[in-house]
Amino acid sequence: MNIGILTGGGDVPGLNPCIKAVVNRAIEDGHSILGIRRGWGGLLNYNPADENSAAKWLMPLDKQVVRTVDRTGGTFLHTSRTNPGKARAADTPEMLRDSDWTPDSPDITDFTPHILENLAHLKLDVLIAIGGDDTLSYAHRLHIEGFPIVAVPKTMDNDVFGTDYCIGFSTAVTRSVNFIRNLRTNVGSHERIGIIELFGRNSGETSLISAYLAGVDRAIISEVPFDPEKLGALLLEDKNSNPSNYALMTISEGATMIGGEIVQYGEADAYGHKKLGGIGAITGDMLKRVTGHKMMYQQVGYLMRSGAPDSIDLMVGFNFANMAMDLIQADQFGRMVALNDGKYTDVPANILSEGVKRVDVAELYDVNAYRPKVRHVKDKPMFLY
Amino acid sequence: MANASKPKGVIGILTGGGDVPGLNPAIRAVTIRAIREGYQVIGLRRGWAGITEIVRDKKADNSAHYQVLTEAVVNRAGRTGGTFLHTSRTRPSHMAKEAVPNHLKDTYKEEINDLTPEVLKNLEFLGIDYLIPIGGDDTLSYGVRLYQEGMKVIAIPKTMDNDVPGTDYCIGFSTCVSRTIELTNSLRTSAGSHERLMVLEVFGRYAGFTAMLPTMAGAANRCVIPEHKFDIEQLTELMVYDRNKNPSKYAIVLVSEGSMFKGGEMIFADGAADAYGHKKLGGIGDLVSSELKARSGKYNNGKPVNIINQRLGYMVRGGNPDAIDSIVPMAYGNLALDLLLRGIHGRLVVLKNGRYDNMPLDVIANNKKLVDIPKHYNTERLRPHYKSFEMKPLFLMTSEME
Repeated sequence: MNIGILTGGGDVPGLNPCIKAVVNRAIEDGHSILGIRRGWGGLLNYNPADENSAAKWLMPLDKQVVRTVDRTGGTFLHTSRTNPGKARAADTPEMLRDSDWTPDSPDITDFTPHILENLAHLKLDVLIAIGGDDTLSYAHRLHIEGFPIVAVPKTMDNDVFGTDYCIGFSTAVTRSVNFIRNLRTNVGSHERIGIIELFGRNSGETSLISAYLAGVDRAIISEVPFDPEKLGALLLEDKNSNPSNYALMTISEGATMIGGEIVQYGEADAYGHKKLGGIGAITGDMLKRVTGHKMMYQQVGYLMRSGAPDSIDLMVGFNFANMAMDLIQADQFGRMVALNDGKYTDVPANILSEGVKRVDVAELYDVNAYRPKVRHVKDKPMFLY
Repeated sequence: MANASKPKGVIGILTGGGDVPGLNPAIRAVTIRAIREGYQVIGLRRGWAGITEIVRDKKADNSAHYQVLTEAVVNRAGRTGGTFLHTSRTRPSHMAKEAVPNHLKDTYKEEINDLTPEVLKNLEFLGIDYLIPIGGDDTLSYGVRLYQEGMKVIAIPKTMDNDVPGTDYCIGFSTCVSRTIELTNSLRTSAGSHERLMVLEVFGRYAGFTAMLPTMAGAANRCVIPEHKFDIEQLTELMVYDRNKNPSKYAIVLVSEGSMFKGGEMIFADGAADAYGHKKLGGIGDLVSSELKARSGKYNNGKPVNIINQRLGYMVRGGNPDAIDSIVPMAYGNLALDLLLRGIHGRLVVLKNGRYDNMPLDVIANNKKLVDIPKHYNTERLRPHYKSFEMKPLFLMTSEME
């Protein structure tokens, strides 16, 4: 078979090991494998009529190409947030802007027929898409159109519905815990209240789990709007009871104050998402006023997903790759590989749109004390939900 | 045993200003050497704040303001970053009304008060004969003041910015450069995966060393620094050129927090100045990011290039000291004791042209240490010069005095 593979959305550590394992397995099983560059952008922009196009948007893969990639984070195929089902005019390649081209609706065009033509032209039999729910929802669209796909979930936020685990989450938590540990020397030396803002979009799991593991005093999560007066009082208690006279809190970038709104900036991407961020600085100003104490504010930001994958993201990256290949061998398409109830499994790809994955607040979070509350661990999966 | 009898003298030690990795090893070196030489060491807490706030009454609880240091205490702390004595930006000669300790509020009622008489009495109350302040030029400038008042002061320079005049090297700079290189390199996977321009704002106050050295070490394509007001159009052209030449299609610029656009001024994070008159910098990275994005299309066939914008901030000075910041503090601590044992005071221990040495303390007050633009920075290419390394000291940019 001819297998295509692509990565979409934000980069995370663990993508490269997953690609490597797919390639090695595919070659060993007698298939050929083609890397598609820059997520769905590769299939949208690839132009069979242009002889330079293949070098730019495609990358034939073999064992030599992937030999060393598992040592690094990110994705060597590169990535994009392009959505061919809702392409903006700015994302529309020159070759598709012929004389009779007009957008389907202002600024939005569905280029799925073109994607299917390109897939046929490349003689691909099946496509492995690695991404978060945005990237994978377009893979599911192709499945509905009759093209065989297998979906592999990744996000540092661990927010893909239908799986307990997404590639990249463990490294993001590992990094956050390490940075929080290092920041203690700064916050402690100055006897301040430290506010550490973490990526996580609208899911509070990175803030919750990092705070839980790093022993941070308070964690603010996207799911639970907070009262700055109350938070300030709690942090003051924490600071006063700490012999080193400091306190630490984490805050999700998507957090909101009671009665407030999510803080976002910039233009929306093709999936309608804007960048979040800045709530930590606003909270810091507020807490300074409430407590009269000095704050130290740091966004960990992109550093959470920087660098090489940790063991879990190697493990899950390799194993998801093998499961994807098992599905292909068995002609099982339209599936997403997953980890559920502690076991590797696969689920229908349409599960993505059937729910939203958020922190189980009742089970894991103390909404009055603004901190993780983990009590019943038995029978929970490794990452607790 | 010297320890068991009356000590030969009492040394006070304190750390002021921003924390850096390497302070604890310096406190450790001073304490262990001093105890072995028969001296007692008292750690003064929170920079100049502890010694200012002491209540001169044998029955008062001053445990928040000082602690007697032992080998056991400093050995454990000596491996870690930050400062276990804690720190502050308190300046006893310029105390705002609300910062004056409660028990002194009746005596000092001005808007700005000079509490130096209290500090001197407090030093006497604790029986301190010698004072070793560890800090940047703000903290040490008050050390100069006390020296002028007759206190026996020997100062140790620290700043992650490496901007204390009179010395090639300040404790904390190496770890900061190590972290900056490490963090920048680990962010390459994100910049590359998305084919973006990456803008990393780094601390450094008014000096560009924290951006220059990592750039020289290969962590970034370009750097902009406070000593040279840069042309954003020129930076955009260079960055897009770097990106498009890179097979992985990304480029990195380190932006020193004090950098200024041509015709612009420094960008401050908030309005409040500290007791030394310094405001907190920050925000230029955000402006550079939006300008780069807006202008990038012009050099990229009309297609704007997206940006990854991250402030490395406190993360370059978090955590434990690297090898240099374990070795230099050990040497500086012992140099300070060498001077003290020889009865020499009013000095700053330094590294000068690659060698350990000492300088008159007032070198701090009378000079500024900044990047020498004609010598070290290429204003055409917005990056350091890479030439004439022969006979230069380890960190290349020295502190020659005019």
